[in-house]
Amino acid sequence: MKGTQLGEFEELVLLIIGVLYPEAYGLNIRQEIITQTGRKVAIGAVHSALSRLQDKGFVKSELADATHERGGRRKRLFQITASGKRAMEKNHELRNSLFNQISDLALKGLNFGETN
Amino acid sequence: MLKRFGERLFSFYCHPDFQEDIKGDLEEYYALNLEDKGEKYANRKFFVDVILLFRLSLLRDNWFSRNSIYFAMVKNNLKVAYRSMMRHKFYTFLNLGGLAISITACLLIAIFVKDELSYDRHFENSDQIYRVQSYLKFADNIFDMIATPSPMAAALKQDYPEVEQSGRVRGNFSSLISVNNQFFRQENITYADNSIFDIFSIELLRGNREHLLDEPNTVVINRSTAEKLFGEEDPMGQIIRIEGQDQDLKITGIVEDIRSNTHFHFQMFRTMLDRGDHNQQFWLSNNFVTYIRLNPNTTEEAFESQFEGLVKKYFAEQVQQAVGVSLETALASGNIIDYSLIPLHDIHLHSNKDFELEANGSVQYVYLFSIIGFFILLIACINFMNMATARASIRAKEVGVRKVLGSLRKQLVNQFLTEAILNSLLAFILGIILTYVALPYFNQITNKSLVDPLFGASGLWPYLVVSCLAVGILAGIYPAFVLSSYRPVKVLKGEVTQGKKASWIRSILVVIQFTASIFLIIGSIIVYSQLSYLQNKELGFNKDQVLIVNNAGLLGQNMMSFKNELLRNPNIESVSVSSYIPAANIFNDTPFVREDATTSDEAVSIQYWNVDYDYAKTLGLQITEGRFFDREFPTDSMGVVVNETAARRFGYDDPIGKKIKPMALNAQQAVSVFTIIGVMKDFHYQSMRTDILPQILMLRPDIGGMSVKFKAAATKEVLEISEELWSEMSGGLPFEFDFLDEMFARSFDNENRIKTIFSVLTVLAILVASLGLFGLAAYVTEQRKKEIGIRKVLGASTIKLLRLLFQKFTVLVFISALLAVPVAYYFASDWLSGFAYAIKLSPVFFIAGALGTLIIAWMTVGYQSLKAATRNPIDNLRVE
Repeated sequence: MKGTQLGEFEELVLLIIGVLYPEAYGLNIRQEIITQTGRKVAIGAVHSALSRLQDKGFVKSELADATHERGGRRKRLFQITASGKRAMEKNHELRNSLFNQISDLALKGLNFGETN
Repeated sequence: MLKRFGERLFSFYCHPDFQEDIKGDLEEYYALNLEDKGEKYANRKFFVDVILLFRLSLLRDNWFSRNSIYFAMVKNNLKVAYRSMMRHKFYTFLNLGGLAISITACLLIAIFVKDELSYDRHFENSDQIYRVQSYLKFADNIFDMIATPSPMAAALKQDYPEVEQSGRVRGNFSSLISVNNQFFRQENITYADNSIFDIFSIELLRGNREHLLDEPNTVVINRSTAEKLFGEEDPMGQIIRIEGQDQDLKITGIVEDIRSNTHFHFQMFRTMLDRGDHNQQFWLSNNFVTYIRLNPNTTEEAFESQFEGLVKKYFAEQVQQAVGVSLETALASGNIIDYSLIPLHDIHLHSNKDFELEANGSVQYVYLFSIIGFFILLIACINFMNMATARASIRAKEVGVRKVLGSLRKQLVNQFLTEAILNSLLAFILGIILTYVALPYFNQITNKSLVDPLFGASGLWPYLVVSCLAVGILAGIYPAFVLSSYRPVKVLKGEVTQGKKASWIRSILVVIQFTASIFLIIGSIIVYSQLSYLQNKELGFNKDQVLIVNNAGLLGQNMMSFKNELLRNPNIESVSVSSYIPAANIFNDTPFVREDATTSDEAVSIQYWNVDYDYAKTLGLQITEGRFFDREFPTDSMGVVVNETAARRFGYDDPIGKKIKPMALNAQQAVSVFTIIGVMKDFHYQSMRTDILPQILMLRPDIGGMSVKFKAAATKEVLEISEELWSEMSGGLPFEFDFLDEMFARSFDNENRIKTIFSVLTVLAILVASLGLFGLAAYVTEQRKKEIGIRKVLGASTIKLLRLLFQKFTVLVFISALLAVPVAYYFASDWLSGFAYAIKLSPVFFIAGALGTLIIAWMTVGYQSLKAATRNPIDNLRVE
């Protein structure tokens, strides 16, 4: 089994899946990432991340019914699994806890002789 | 267009599970772009996305992902092999030990063979270099030798444009030399033409290759000699004095040491110009070794046919003068003058003529050792096969379970082959280590000086990998197929397929092993007996308690007083002055005829030696008729003592008082006539490999060396006295001595070397075979444990049980003996035919060989059998 670490981009994709629920599929996940973060993302990057997430068991997917759009091809709709949710929470907690431990000094920076 | 191509490409590499939705996404995106930005952009975007979709996690199954299971299986096979080896440590030890020993033997043999085959190939254009050799028959005298007439080299180059270069060397001797009044014994001196350095690309360190030896009194030495003589000093232009000839030579060049795999190892090249006969235009005397380099387009055969014309052109006149008949008549009456070429590459292994510069190798031994090496390896492989099939029952259950769980036969074969290859790999590693441990001894035995023959430059290592796999497969293929053929139902029910067939094949394999062992044992017995026969043969002279003083002539005026002083010592029986010493490989022949001879057809080629009055007494020669030279007969200076062979060849029934004379070179030449005053028993004055040829002794001063016969057990005293006297009289010259028996023993160095190699190989082969037999016997006895127990309970005696257990092996040894004896007989008679004096092949050798093997087999099996036969039956029967 592959490692269950959640990479940065993977986490982003996971979050977006949650945001788009229940209509998250490859192309609109990409679109959402672009609109929310302003990053340039290739379709391949999204699909590769989705496939890794699925291997790790963080998302599950099923094929939607066929429509006349998309050349008659079905969409694969993604959902977050329980372990995906746990992994997200863990990351979130870790980040918050670390963030809270940072002293004010470090955030504000040291200033000597500020004029204004 | 681009879109369709992109789609195809995507279908090609993408995993089918992902294809539908991703294609859908691409399509949807395409439609979006088409609307917004036009077809061109959409198409391009589509294609770029397809390329960017090429990601590991989305790929279709490929060779790597499909085969990862096999990599895992190999790992698993290795693990199983390791476990099975660790579980049966005893058998693993026998297998690995046997294989490692035999691999060591094979490696050493391969190193030997490779070195033998590499001789003289390091010279540039070595395939164009040839040596001229002669086959001459004159009356009843045959000369098959490497020496050629003095003008041969020059004539070849002058008359035939295909000869690019020609050159001569003469001799390979040792001499006492001095540099600034310091004395050295210098070995491997030769006379050489300057052109020799053009033919042989010997690396020149100092000097001008064009002008090395083209002036009188010049010499070229090799690097180590330069270091020995001059140390750090610059040797160029320095003077070397040859003692005894009062000649001072100027060093004109330094060459690199000649490589060990060369058919000569000269350390000092004196210019040929210093020899009075270097420019002699006489064709009927053969004393020079001629090398030529042909141009690349000329073949050996094509050039050899030219020699007939050369003989006609140069020999006719001189033959007419010498024997009084024309060349045609002389050749027609059965005389032969035949010159031919031998390629440089063939000299070391294929040439064994008179006057070779050094003792050469023999291709016979190269073949013989290769065969033995192969046999030893075969024996070890057979051990592995036997052990693996014999112990099959242990693995049978494993095979059954694996098959039930779905293993294919191919996979099982792979598993057992992996095991065999792992064994072979471990054995190779061990073998390589052992080879390097044994290398110093190997160098000593074979008189080579190899440093890193396996992994060094042009080493054998590429072959190692191949042979490691080959040995593993050879040893593993049969057990792999036997073991993998078991039917799971049977083995799991407990019916171990202890088939008759397997045991039958095992017997054949054991017979092969024993055949090889018996062959080798018989071989070494015969080699051993022949060589000890030669070394202990009646020589016809006394070699014990004779001290040889070299360079006695250097004493000059003092020599006679040195001799007389020595004789005053009661331990010294007699002293003779003559450089003609048996075992020193001296050749000095010339044709003689009876005084009343009318034609040259009666000529007898004679070895004539110059000796003094005390020669016969000192060397213990036996006079059968007449007498030896005596001071009381002043006429003895014109007398000769002939050996029995010479007397026979001259055809004198009662030779005493008869006269002989050397053959005149032309009618005008006056020759002295000698009277035979005595006949001595033939003695072996040359190598024991050759027949004793006609020989005469003449009373002439020859001050090269001195032989001192002393009383037994006085060696040390005599040596001390001689050395003391020498230093008193010689004025600082070094005292150089030798013992005749040691010189004689050294002349067998080559034969002794072969004897040692053969014995070692035989012992190894037998050891490996015994290891295998030991394992097999242990197994068989174990199998029959219960039977033995029951027989014992029913009253069988230990002897009876032993007989039962021995029976099968004994039969196998007998069959092997039947096979091995004819082969051994064939090879032995072939080998012995190369000796002038050979032992008769008596049946004793063969019986001893077979019996020896039988005894070794009994001893090997005996330990196991005795243990089983004497064990309390209750231990055998209680098992279940």
